[in-house]
Amino acid sequence: MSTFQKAKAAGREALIERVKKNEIPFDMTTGKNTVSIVTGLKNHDREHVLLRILEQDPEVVLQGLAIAGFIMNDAELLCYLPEEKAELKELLEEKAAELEIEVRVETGKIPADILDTGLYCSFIMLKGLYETVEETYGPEYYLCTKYKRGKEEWYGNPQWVKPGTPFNELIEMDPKRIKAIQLGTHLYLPDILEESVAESEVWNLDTGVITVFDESCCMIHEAEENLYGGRRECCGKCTFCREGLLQLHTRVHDITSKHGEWGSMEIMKELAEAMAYSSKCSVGNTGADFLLDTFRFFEQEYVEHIKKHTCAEGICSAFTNIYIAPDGCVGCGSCMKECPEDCIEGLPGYIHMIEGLKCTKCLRCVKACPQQVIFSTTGKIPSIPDRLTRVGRFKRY
Amino acid sequence: MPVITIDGIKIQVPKDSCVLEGALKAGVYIPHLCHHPDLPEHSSCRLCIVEVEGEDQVVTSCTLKPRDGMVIQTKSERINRLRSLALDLLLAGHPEDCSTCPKYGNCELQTLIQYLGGASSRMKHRVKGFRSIEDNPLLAHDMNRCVLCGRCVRACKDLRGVGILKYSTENMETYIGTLHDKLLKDEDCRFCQACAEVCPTGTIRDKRSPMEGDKTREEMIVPCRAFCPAHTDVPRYIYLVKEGRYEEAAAVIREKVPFPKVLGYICNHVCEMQCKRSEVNEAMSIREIKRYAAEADTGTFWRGKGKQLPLTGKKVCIAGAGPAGMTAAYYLRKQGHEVTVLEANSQAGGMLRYGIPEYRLPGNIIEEELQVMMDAGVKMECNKRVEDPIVLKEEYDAVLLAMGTHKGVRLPIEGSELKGVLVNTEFLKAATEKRESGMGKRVVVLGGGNVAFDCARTAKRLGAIEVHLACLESRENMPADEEEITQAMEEGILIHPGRTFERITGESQADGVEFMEVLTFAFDKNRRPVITKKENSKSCIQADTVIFAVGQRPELRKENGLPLTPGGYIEVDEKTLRTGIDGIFAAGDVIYGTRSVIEAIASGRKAAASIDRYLGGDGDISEILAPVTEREDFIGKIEGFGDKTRAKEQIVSADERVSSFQPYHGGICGEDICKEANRCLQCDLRLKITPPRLWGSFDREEEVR
Repeated sequence: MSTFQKAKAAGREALIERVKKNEIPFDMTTGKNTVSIVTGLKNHDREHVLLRILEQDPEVVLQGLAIAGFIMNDAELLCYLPEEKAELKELLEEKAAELEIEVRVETGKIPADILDTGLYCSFIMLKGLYETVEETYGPEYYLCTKYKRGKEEWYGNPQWVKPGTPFNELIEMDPKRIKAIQLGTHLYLPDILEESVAESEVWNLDTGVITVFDESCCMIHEAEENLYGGRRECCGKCTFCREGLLQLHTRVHDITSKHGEWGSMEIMKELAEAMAYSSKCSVGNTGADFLLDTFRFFEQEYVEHIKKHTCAEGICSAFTNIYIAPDGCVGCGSCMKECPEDCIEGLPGYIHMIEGLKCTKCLRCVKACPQQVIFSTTGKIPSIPDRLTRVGRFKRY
Repeated sequence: MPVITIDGIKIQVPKDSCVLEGALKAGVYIPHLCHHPDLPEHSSCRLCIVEVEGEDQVVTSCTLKPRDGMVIQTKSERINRLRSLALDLLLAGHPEDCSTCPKYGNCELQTLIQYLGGASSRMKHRVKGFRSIEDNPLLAHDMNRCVLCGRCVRACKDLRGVGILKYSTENMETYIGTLHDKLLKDEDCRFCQACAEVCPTGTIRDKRSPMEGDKTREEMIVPCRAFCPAHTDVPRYIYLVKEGRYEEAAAVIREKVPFPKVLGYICNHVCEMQCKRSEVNEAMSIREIKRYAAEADTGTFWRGKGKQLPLTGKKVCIAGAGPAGMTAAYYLRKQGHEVTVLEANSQAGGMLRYGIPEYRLPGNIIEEELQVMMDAGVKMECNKRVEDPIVLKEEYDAVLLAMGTHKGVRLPIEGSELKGVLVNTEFLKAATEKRESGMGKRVVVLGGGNVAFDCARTAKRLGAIEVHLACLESRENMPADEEEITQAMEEGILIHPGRTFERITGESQADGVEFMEVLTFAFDKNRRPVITKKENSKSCIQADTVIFAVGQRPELRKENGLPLTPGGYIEVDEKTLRTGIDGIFAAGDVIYGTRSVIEAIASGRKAAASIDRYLGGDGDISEILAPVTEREDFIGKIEGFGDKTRAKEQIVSADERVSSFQPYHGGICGEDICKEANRCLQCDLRLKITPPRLWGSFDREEEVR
């Protein structure tokens, strides 16, 4: 007997009692109007970590979905997969057929009108419903840690976590070196790590990912990346999501590329705040959360980028300057050969010079210099020659 | 019905409607862009936001269902700020040059900018840089102007059931297009133009200008109907024919013209020239569809059913039993007047009978159509030429002159009076009456219009061995219908376009015509022809018969007291068709020269309305004969729709048809007729779409109050 059959045998009323007893936040009050139960990743979820629940246990999720449908007076069942995972569709349909569950599997974002009329259930919640029927339920959350250092990033292993587990236990990084933590779409200061995986909080950890930003991260660069990611997820139908993300992304990009204006902070804030309730799905409504949090916690970084033209962490290459130390250069030409932009000038035996406007700050010359006298700095460039000068002849003024 | 309060005004809003619609209907304007009353809601533009008492957040009024006692504010500082923000966002990717946009002055976005007090410059403006797509028939797409309201997508999918317009993305810039940007035709577009109708900006728009001459935008949307001189409801009867409801279709035609069969045979179908389908591939075969309906009709919906007002005691005399005179007679009779038609010839029909040869329009068809008018009570007196119209005034309350143009023009060139030189009208009349016309074996017809072709083709059928046709106009500019020209050529008639007629040679009997070649031919501002001839291009065609087919004039004498135009036609007031003498009206060819049957009918209708008014009636001759049918908006997709070709007409081969005066044209067969009618783009469905409601019109209403 499948779990779904067991659920049906138990009857609707008994199931509702058990769901309530287990305190699963499955909203049964909307039951009468619900035309469909829809599951899938949230539209703004670009991490796809939670998809592993479906990949590992499709039977559990499908039966959970069927149980939800049964509780909601046989509502239609819908499962949305990200475009990139379209190949799962066939497998799911096969499994559903085996389990005699009628489910429509679609790819792409969950359309706003379906979110309006239907009842959304996460994979975790469906697993909860399954376990309620099997009477094995204990609240558990699927979490994965992600670390960012400079421009690098890596993931920890996803794991099932019991409520009450302190976040500290999940993080494998020296807390002193942590700059910020991202839970769901929001950003927090490291003191959040003192708290534990509380039930209410975790239901909102809707991507299942805890991102840890190392002290070497530039939070404005992170905000830019976050907005860019949002634009790529945006379907383009809502004005505030489509145009708002574009405006915010362009402006943050201006900031990281040395063209920032302090005056644009106000309109960015106004736009970001309006976005929270002006789109039809979470891509737009949560799209500016991260940015607003960086405004709140890291205003100083904005001040530095916009007013002082510096990126303290040296991430935003627009603020980085590369120079060849005139004392050390032997005029060997190794850097010239390596430069992809052809922006190093020099002759054998002369001190080489970098043409700053064309330089993309790829740092290849820095690595190529046998004397190790090419430096990148976020500060001021020391005095260097402004015309071709023989090695050893350069005098500081 | 829930009662809600909007800006202090209590209004009732139907439960299943939305607050926005309720407000608009009650005269309270709320700005909106993506909302359209005929389409499902999209609620993406955020311009229609309002505040609901007791709720923190603003809500879109297009998705807000009314609840009894709801209190709504449509204006507040917060709402204005958010609306301006939404508009600024929309305009960030929209060109800033309203004045160069074809939609200038009719743009919903433009009026929203005005309503919200202009756009701020707070956003980063960008140029989307899409290529404007002009490769599709009828519709142009300029995605740079698109604000992505999605109306076109919903109109295509939800209103029409076609669903080929979609959201697409290129370099993170969203636009509306077909799958893989295929051409509309390749995506089986129905070209219903609903997308252009609902587009609030100049993004998807008609390629053809929405105004032409005195035609309104609405008229230009259904050009077949607008350009038909009688404004026959073409799309409506085409739809009925498609449904196999021929009786109703014929009744629709009869609402405007009392000669459906005649027109089905010989109408010069201006409608087809204007047909939008011709932009897609080939024009609808409108005349043949009309013919099919008229031939399949038994009169269920109109025979004995139309209007017939009680007798007024007024008497009208009509001179001339051609299409103009008979149309007027028919409608005047229906208005309750006693109508007598005087006809100079021995049989009624006018040019239908004496001008159009039997092989194009058989006599029995004319008879049949005239019989309807006789049955209505029109009195006919043949062999009665009206010499003095003013005398008729003594006996009748009103007189209509519709004698047509029965006098052929004989150009005053050398040899034009020789034996063997004939004129069009007399030649064709003789052929109809089966009299000897004096035609020999080798014939040259001079002229390039339809009458010239009638003469040439009649000559061929009367046994001429060689028939030539020469005209001033170049081949492309010949005034005759294209099908006439090709069919004549099939019948072995030799065409010589671009020739001047120098002289007719011969001693007492014509033996040939001398021509020169035309280099240029145009009219000056006084409508006089200006011709330059090619030097040394003289040529000669041997012939024993020359037929002038260079126009016809009315047979009028100046001395009968009617003011005439410089061209010799009766002068009338364009609106009322009144002549210079009270109580005398004129209609048809006699006022404007030889044109077409459908124009004569339209002129006859106009005269009937005007005379009825003159006699004390209301001048309303309109009739509703066919029951009103609700048309389906959801037309769906049809595979290969754009490439479906025009149905072939059944035409007897040239060899066979030249040997007799039997009709050679069989129309479209029953198997094809539904397919042909199904090709119609149904442009008129577009008129059912609710027009935009701009704040300007609300303002005016308030002023009136």
